Parts: sequence; C-alpha cells; structure tokens
Amino acid sequence: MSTLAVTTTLNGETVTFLCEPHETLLTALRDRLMLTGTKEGCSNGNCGACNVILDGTLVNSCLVLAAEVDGHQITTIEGIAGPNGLHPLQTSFLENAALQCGICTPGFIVASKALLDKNPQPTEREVRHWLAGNLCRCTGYDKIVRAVLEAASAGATKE
Amino acid sequence: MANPAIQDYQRPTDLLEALRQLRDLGPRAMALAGGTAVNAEPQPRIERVVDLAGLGLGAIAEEGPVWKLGAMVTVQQLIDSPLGREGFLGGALGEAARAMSGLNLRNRATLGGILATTDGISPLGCALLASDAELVLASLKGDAVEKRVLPLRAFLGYHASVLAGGSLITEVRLPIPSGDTRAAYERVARTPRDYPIVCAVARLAHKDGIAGNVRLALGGVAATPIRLDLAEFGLEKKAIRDHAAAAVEDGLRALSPQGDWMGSAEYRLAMAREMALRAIARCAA
Repeated sequence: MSTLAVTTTLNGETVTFLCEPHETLLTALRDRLMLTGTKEGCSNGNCGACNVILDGTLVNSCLVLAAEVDGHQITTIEGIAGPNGLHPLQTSFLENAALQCGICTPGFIVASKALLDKNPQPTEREVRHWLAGNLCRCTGYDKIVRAVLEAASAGATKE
Repeated sequence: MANPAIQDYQRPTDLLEALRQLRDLGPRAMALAGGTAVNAEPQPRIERVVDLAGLGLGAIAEEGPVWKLGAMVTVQQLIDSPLGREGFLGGALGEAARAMSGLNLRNRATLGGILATTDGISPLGCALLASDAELVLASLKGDAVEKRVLPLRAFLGYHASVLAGGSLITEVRLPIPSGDTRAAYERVARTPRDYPIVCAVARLAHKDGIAGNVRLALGGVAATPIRLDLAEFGLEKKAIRDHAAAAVEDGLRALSPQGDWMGSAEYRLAMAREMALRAIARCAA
C-alpha cells in the first residue's frame, strides 16, 4: 500500500496530509485533519450529511477519495463562520430552530452556503430542489427551508 | 464508503497510460469517474483505481451535426449547458438529467460513469437512447489506443463485458435533432424528487399530426433502459392520435419486467403504457 501526500486548500489555508489510497475525503477530514464537523450518515451518497464544497460545487465527501482533492479547494462546515462569529445562515438555523439532533445540520448549512453563493435570492422552490440531496430524519424540512430563505433575505452572502 | 482493498490510486494524464494501468491489473483495476457508483458500493476485488480526471474529458462542444460531450462531463454540467435547456428537445434531456439524483450527486456523477454503471431505470440513459446517442470507446490495440464508435443501444446490456474487456468510454455524441423534433420525459415516482419507478422518453418529428423518426425509450422495465422498437415502427409516418395506443401496446408485448419492492411486474407494465402514452401525447400537443 502506498501512502499518498495530498496538498489542498482547505478553508482558505494550504494543507498537506497523508492518506491511504482507499480513504475517502470524509475519513481524511475527520480522522486525519480532526475536522469532525463534517458528519458520516449513510456513506453511499443519499443523505448529504458529509457535504463539502469542492472547487465551488457541492459534493458528498463520502464519495470522493481523499487522493482526488490534491490541488483542489475545499470548504467544510468549519470554514463557514467568519472571524466575527457565526455566518448568517448558522444564526438563522438557530433562530428558526431548524435542527433537532443536529447530525444533518452541517451538511444542510454547507449545502445552503453553496446555494447562496450561486443564487443569493432563491425562491422556496429553488431552496427545496437544491436541498433535495440532504436528508433530515427528525425536524423535517419546513424550518430548514425557512431558515435559508430568511438568511437570504438578510443578505447572507455579504458576510 | 471505505473500500480497504484499494491499495493503489493513479491519476494518469494521457489515455494510453490510463488504458495500460487498467490492463495491467485486469479485473482488479477499475476506472474512477465521479465516484458516485464506485465509491458508494463495496468493491472487495478492486486493488487499483484509475482516476480519469486528468484526461481532459470534461468538455461539451458542438461540431458539425453532433454535440460531443466528454465522458467526464457531469450530469449537472449537462443540465447547465444548452443541451439541458428548453431550446434542446424541449428540455427533455435536462429534465431527465435532473431526475437522476439530488444536486450533490449530479455535481459528481459523469455521463461516462452513469452509462458504465447503469441500472434499469436511468432517466438520463432513456433520454440519451431516445436521442440516438453514440459512444466513443477507447481500448488498447497492441500498445496503441484504438477508438471505435458504438451506438448507445448496442452498448447497453453488454456494457459490463465491453468495459471488462478493457474499453473506456471517452465521449458521448448526440446528433443535432431536426427543427421539427419534439421530445418529452414522463415518469412515475413516489414523490416529485424521488428516483422514478418507471419512466419514458418519446422523441419524434411532428408534422400535421403525423409522427416521423420516432424514438421511444423506457426505464424501469428491463435490466437497462431500452428502446421500444415495435412501438416506434407502429407509429412511424402515422397519425399520432389514431395509432399511439395500438403502437405502444405492440411494443409492450416484448417486455417482461421484473417486480421488486418499488413495483410489481404488472404495475411496471401498466405504468410503462401510461408514461409512454403521456410522453407521446406531449410530443404531439
């Protein structure tokens, strides 16, 4: 087995880590880089709990090999809050009680961030379609959709 | 999903090297495109993955009478291109592509990957079949790259053995449809965003109620998406309103779908009839 050195821009910083060829990006983030905000849900691409932004597009980190991200840019949930505190999306999720057990929340927030980066004023339909790849098994979706729409109307992308 | 058997990751930058790396380990090597199938399933036999990301297969270009789409074009890239919009086949290709999965999978899943690992439903597979798509396959001949063009319909059903023989999909080609071509995608699913149980794509040239160049593809009734030849034949140069029902009925006789937890064989047949007729009716509207 050949251990690989992977260099990537992670939440704005250049990072080099070692990984095995079979390791997923999710495993590397959690077990190598100790960024445990990204959650493991289904591990087969259905639930979106492991969402990260890879070169500006939303992906499931459980389906990406860590070796694939060499030379690429990644944003995880740890990179969403700014130096002055929570991102407006995070505040809006709290204010709308858009979470219950919380395991899906990082994925939802990362997915919502990717949406607002691309479409700062989405309609409710656009939010629902965008988040179709994220599952929440306890709260349901209405409060989550409301939180995203409120964050958008508050100008979340300016933060 | 972790696949601990994988001990070797390669990202070649030319096709010859990629084909050699696959050939050298035979069935113990696997091509990696978007990873949405390879990394989602247990792969106990695979020791080497050959990542195709460095081969420059991610472009969409119009060249003469065809659109050429690199095998690494993602499903979302197709949706965002002119081919996914209303102006191309009435948006049917884009609609079928959106039905493949949620956005986070569409951002990774590639055209080559979804065809190489197709299931029996694949809405986008149906739309590509109905669009007369062709594949460019690359393989090694001696120590050189040989390319050949194969209609998608000849590939589906034999895809596993074609690929196990060391071939790689490098390109998907779509002929540009004539101006009077119409197309429609129809599906039945448990929820609006769910993967279909049965789906249909009809494509035909429509003039004064008469159908020409008819294509009808169905998903969810066989091991891969299929074309319904007898239905196409029965509708060709005929008045759509008068002949659609009988033509589809003829086509359905060739099918013997398997029932599963999503729908019994009888249900699948009934839905295939309904979806096919709806898709044809939308083309004629």
